Amino acid sequence: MEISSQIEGAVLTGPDGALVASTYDDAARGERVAEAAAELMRAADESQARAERAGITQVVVELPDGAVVVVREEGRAVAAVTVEEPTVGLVLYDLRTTLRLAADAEKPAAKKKAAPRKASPGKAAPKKTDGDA
Amino acid sequence: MRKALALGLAGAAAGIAFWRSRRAGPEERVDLYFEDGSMVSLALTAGDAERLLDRARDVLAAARS
Repeated sequence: MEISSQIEGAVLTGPDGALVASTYDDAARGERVAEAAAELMRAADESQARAERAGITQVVVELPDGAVVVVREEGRAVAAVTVEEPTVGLVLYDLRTTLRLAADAEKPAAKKKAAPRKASPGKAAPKKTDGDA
Repeated sequence: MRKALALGLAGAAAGIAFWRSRRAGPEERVDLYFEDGSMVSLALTAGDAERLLDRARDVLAAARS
């Protein structure tokens, strides 16, 4: 997991909430950050602002000594801790890219599983049609 | 003379205020982004914002401990 210099550390969690990747050398610390970030997202989901709108995809909390940024997409989430006064737009871009790469990395495996077997000699391969007309 | 003194004092006060604001660093801020592309900045006096600030402090503490 490569990240920009404004990000001190980041964790990536899968749809089941389990830690998938982390920039922290200490695995236990990565787990703690992932759990705390999941709590943050739960609090965001339970907020009044959420009750009146669609689902939350990103949360940015800026504090005097750094920021916490969480981006969520298709169940996966990436949470980052940044330096003071980060360029939030760049951090969000980095995290969205990380999520996209994680999703792409899983796609080939899924495609392999779903790939149809070669048609047997007696059967004709299904033809692709553009519709009924 | 009085006018110049008043202007000088006003300038000094403005300078001190600017310096203090720079020293104070960034403000706390909570932004939520939604699936429909909208964004909400929570008022820091709201209970929701306090809860989210607390959770974010927990994340920072977990990352830096």
